[in-house]
Amino acid sequence: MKGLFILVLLAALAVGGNIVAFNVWGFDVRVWAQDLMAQDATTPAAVEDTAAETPAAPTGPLAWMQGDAALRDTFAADEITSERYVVFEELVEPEELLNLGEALPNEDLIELYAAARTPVRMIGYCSEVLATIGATCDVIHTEVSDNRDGRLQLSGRLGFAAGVRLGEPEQVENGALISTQVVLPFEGDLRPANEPSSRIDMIRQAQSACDTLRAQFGNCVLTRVNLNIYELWITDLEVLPAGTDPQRIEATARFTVYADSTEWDTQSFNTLVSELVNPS
Amino acid sequence: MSEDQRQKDFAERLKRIHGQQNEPEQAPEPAKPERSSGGFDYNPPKESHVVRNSFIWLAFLGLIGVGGYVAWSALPRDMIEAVAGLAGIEVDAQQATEAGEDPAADIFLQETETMSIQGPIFASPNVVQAGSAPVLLSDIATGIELTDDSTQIGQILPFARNARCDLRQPLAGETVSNVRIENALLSAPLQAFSDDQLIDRLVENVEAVTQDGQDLPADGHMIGLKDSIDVFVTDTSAPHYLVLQNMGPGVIWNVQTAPGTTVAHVAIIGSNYSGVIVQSQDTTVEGLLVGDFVEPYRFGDDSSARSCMIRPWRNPQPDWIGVKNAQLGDTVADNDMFAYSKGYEAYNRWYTGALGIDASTNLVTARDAAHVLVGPVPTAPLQYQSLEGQDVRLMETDHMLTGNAATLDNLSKNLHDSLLQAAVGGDVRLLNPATLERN
Repeated sequence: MKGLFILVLLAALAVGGNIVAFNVWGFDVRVWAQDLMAQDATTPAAVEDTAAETPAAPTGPLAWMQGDAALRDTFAADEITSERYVVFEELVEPEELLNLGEALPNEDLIELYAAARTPVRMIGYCSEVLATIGATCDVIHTEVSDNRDGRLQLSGRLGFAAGVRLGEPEQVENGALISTQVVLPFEGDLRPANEPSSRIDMIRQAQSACDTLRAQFGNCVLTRVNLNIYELWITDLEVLPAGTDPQRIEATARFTVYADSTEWDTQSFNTLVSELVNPS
Repeated sequence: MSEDQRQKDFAERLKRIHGQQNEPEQAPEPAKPERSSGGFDYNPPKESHVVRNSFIWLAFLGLIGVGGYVAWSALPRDMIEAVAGLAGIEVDAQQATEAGEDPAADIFLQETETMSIQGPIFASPNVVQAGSAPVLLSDIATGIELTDDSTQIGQILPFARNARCDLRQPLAGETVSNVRIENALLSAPLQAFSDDQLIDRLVENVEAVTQDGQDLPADGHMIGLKDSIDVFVTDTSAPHYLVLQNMGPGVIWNVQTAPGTTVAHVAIIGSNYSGVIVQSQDTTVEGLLVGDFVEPYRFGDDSSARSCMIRPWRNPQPDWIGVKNAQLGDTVADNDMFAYSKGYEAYNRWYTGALGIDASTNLVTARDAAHVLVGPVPTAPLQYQSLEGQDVRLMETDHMLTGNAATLDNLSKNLHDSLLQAAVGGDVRLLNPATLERN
């Protein structure tokens, strides 16, 4: 009996001591409960207020994906979203930014001039997006950086509303967005020249692979095409025919599908796409 | 086995038997103590190990308690909610939430109107001074009409900044008086900014459109706005050498002196283009711009020794919310206060080298202030002087504008827009070209 009493006393001391210690020196044991309630901090009255202000649930073909912003932005075919874009680049001398007859500004102003003029230069590439995968096209983001040789590297993301079929993601069970990125292959020893026809070919090549994936998954979105400039070295050019364009394109495409997550993951999808794009 | 081997073995056996029979008898082994009957005592007397067992149980249950608490904390929220509901704890939590309490508020202190994380705030009419007694502006001055957006100053008198990272040495008999703040709380009808600052702001505004998809900021042209602060000097004991320092936006220090006081020299140390109003033409003025000597601050930069570290940090004090929260375990506040104290150490090193006295000598300091008192509360109040009609000695820079709010808005907008238009090379709307459609 005495032993039982001691045992109960010790248990009470140990548990109670911990609670007291946490409250006095360390963790506040009440925090978890308050924190927990703060997460759903809506009292019944607040719920009613919120419900009154909440807009009506969206309707239409995209209604089912409203709760998932990434999914919606990927498959909202009629809109330009931040999830689908083609990246174009330019390497330019500061003088190339100027209008006819315009003098080169003070060196301190060149970054500002470049930042301010890049959108207009980039909108010109929309013709290539519209000729391939876009129904509408807009510049959604531009950046400027100094190249080591004194030139400026301009880059622009061109968003587009889809001019191609994206498929029917709503048919997928256990669906999850799965993406992978692969470098697109090219013929010959040299990457394609940085010119409109090459860039258009690259975008078409990527879309063609996406069409094949759509046949298998029921949907596919070309969420990125990066057309990065890759410049040949002088030592490369020395052994090439005179007049070879030193600016080449390295194209990378990102494919996104809404697929059954019990069957597919990023790794298996990457394997599939790599074999599709670069058959051995 | 051969016949010879058998005979050999038999001979050896006989020899061993013979040897054993001839050995002397060995002494019997000493008797061992008799063991308790049965070899095991089924009813031994009970030994008491209460203290030892208590420690073992205490440690065991303590571990269970700690482990249980940590495991409980790691449970998913919905599970906690369900169990908490069963345990009846939900009611308390609900009450706390309904009362609008932030759980963190129970642990860490919040800023108040008069005390911030980085020290005290003295909004008008409160006056900051070296002592702790509260002083109001009405205790010091009469005819109070504070500076505002409509105040018209006299002339801007630009002066060249000190390029040597030192200060004029105090003369014998001069008292060095030391004011250090972060922000001034009165307005000032002045803008002063360099071409670099204008360009930086334009790049920022352009990128808001081209990178974030926003419109051009409506107030994007309001660059280099100044604030002002009154500095009342009432100590008549010696000529003053004022060291006026701030870390925030540019400040116009409005120095007002009581009869019988002399301000011999003013040294301004500021993080932006700043200026001063002095009542005597004999007062000499010099100014150090932090950016001329030290790179823009990144966390930790000033924690190590560096030459000419003139960023005027303030030394954390026990009443700062940041210091109190650091003591309560707020690691962010702890890091901030550490950076402040290390920054102050570095600044004090330079200050002591430049002036020969510690940076805490004759110091009046606050994070934000509208009025500062250097000296005792005067027996007869001073006649208050706003910036109205007064000439401002200002660190020289590319653009120094003054006027009422509408004039300043106009002047700076013209500067901003004309450069932006030149940068775009035409219509500013080209920053965001129209969407194109497939034909």
